[in-house]
Amino acid sequence: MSFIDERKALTREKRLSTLSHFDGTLQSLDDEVQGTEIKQRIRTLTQSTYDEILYALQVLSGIEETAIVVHGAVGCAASVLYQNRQRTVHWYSTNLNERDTILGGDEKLRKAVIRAYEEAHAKVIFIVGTPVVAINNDDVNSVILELEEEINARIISIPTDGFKTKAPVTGYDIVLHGLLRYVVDRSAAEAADRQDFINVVTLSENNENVAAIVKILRDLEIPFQLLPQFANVDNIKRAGQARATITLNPDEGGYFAEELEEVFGVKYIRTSVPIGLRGTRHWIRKLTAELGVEDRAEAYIEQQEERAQGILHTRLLDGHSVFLDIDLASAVHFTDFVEKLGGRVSGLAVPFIDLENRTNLNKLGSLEKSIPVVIANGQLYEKSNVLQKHKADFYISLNDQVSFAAQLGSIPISLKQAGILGYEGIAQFVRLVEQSKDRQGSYGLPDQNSLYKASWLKKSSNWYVKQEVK
Amino acid sequence: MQTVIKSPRNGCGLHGALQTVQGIRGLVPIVHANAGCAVQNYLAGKAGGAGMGSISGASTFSTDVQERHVIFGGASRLREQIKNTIKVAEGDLYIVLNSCESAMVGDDVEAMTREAREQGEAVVECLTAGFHGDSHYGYESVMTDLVKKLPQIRPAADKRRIRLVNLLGILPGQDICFRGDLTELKRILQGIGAEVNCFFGPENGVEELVTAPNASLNLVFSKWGRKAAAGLEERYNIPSLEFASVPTGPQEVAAFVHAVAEKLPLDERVIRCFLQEEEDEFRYYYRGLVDHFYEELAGKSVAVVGDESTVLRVGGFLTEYLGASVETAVVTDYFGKAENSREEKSGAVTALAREAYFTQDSKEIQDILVHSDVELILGSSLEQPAADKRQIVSLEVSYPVYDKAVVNKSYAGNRGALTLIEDYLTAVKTANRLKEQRLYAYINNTAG
Repeated sequence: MSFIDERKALTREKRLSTLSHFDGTLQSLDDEVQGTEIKQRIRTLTQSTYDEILYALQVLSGIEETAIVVHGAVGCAASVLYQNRQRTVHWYSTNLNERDTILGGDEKLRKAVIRAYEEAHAKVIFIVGTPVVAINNDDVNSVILELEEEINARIISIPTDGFKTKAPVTGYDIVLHGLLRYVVDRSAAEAADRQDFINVVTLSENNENVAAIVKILRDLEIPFQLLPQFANVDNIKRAGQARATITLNPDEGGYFAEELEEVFGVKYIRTSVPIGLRGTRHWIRKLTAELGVEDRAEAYIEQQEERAQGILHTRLLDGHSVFLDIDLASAVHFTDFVEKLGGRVSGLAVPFIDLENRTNLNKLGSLEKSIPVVIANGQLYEKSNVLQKHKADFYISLNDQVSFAAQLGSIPISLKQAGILGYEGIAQFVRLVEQSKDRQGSYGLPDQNSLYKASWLKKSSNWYVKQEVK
Repeated sequence: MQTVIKSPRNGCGLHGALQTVQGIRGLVPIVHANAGCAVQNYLAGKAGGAGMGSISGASTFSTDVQERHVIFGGASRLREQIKNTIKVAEGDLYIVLNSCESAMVGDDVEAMTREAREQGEAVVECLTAGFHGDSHYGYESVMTDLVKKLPQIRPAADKRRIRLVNLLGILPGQDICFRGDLTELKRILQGIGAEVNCFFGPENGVEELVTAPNASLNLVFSKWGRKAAAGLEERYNIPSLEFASVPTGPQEVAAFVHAVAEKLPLDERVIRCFLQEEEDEFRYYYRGLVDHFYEELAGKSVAVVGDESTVLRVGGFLTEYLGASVETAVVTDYFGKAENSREEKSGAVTALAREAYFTQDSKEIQDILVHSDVELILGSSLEQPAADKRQIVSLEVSYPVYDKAVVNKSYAGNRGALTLIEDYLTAVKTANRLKEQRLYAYINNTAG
């Protein structure tokens, strides 16, 4: 069912019954997510985490020839300083003050959009919503309608608000929805034949990971365009003319790929995340089968796997337990990867589970059903508790801020800036494990001051996870 | 009216308050906001170079308010969060910081913290909705509230400590060298026999806040420390000495020390010896470099961009000691609740620079810098595109700083002044070398 005619993307909770709060075992989670709807839970103690505004800002910062207007208080645009480190981002804050929260910020919004157009020469200007304008109900669409007659740029509302979803990944959907609805060229897609390139959807992947996938595509001589990260406006416009779409993470890019398939007739090549030998092999095979170049792929896979075996045979994780803090789609092949290195996944934390990705639980068959599973974005206090009770030799996370695990006796590895995708990812991850193991995970003096009380670490870790009462 | 800002460098009031609280050991923030507010600040801080405290980003306790709390009110969610945070997090004091959301919804934050206090818990609140001002305003608010409200929970001893001073107006995170600057100021003050409440540092900051009312003098190093100092003066009769910026260089240190000595019963002989030793040390290094100054630094014109106190300090030192002329000064912290400060302080900045501007809009700043006739830019990483455009060298002295990690570096006092000399001379040498290369290429390409 297509959602393209909806004014905005539905939250993940509404669309897929997404669950972001859970603490139990793999078995109890499996039981929990059966049925047509997943029961929601809440936490009565929380720590700050990414919200959908941050996810939206992160991905919008990566689109060329565009400008971002963050319609809110000045702090709502603060994280773009971080994105701006590696690429030039044109961003504006409407810098709403108390008076604007009472009388509305339309005039400032108008000014910001005009400035973005005149100064950044943006082809597309995104207006990112924030709590202030969501509560105030500022009429963003009127400003857009009015200004689109004045300026030669597409103005797109990104109606994020920071409080309607517990799943920040909704931020990706909101951005992708805006791109599908207002940028991807429908007429060209209907009229023209398919062109000889594929869409590769990338959202959260860091540069190392994207570079690893680009290398594979180049080696296999497959024409492609990356989007929305690394794309320019024309790339996005012609997404509907591609031969096919493939994602680097179906839980993030699947929304875009499915809509492209349904509305524009672009084949969606459904794959898993290209992690480790098995994941990468699976990804390449599915892709090349669709494009009819399997022969090229087999020789390549063989050659790359032979090379990778030379690294994997060291079995660096032999006899070691690993607590994985990673999204569920990636966990499937990452678990396999860890096992190839001789390790055993002894605990799992994932940001969400939903009606679509719950099938991944069946692919984690090698894991013991009794291992602890936490579903949370962040919530380090709870993960500390779990790690205290279920000691793991390694704590491997896709996130930053991993040092807390060292206080609990694990060797922390952050994959925030490291590569794990494709064949390059195998080598990089192994090197990272090797180095971390050598220094037993700690940098110099171990931090002895735990932020958390000893009494908390003795309690049940799910103490603050409750059934939601509606 | 506060206007639209291109590439804003300052966070909101909540962010400023959070950065401040994170710098105080023993203090645990509880943010009453949507899930991403503290992480926004964390990401900006990661880009900024100054680092964070042990509670930041994903370890910050936050109510992560949801739609139901916006519609029906979030006070009960806050009550629950306060109760549970106290049970889980180690801390000497908990502080609730509100946000745009909770302010607009009208949650009674004060009632929730009062309720916890009545149960004997050490909880205070600071109402710092993001739309009230920028991060400077956040520092101002939270420091003012802390010195006002903490004595309700932890009353100070009756006894006045005659040599104890409170340091105010140096902003964690926003002043990229705040740790090093505070350490240097503490060293100087202890060197003349004073006791110091820094609030930010390896000592327990909450304990220092408890003793703040016992101090005999507030030392204020920027306009953002004024309000907290006024609160201490009003309630506890502690006089304040305000400085335009942190003293940098031997003359400024001597003037600072004498000003403090006038207010405190300090031993004159100790002061004299200390200042002599300080000056001797400074001169020792300075003398070794002075030939370089004549050769490398003569006639340099610079632009300085940053908070007012940074501009006055860095610009002042370069003019006074290193022969630079400050062609352009851009002050980036004039707005917020203290919009009047534009008029108040423009005199000091105008006296320093040939052209003085007051804006934090990166496009305006870039335009100013591109059209300024300067050879070096001292500012933040956001000024790099202007330096690139002009093909001149830049030195990062203000927030944000992308590619540097700042641990305990200081541009304050005598030791910090030497560091500033080191950094400035390095930048000038680079600039001179590039200029030589350009001239060489020009001569080669045009001669014969």
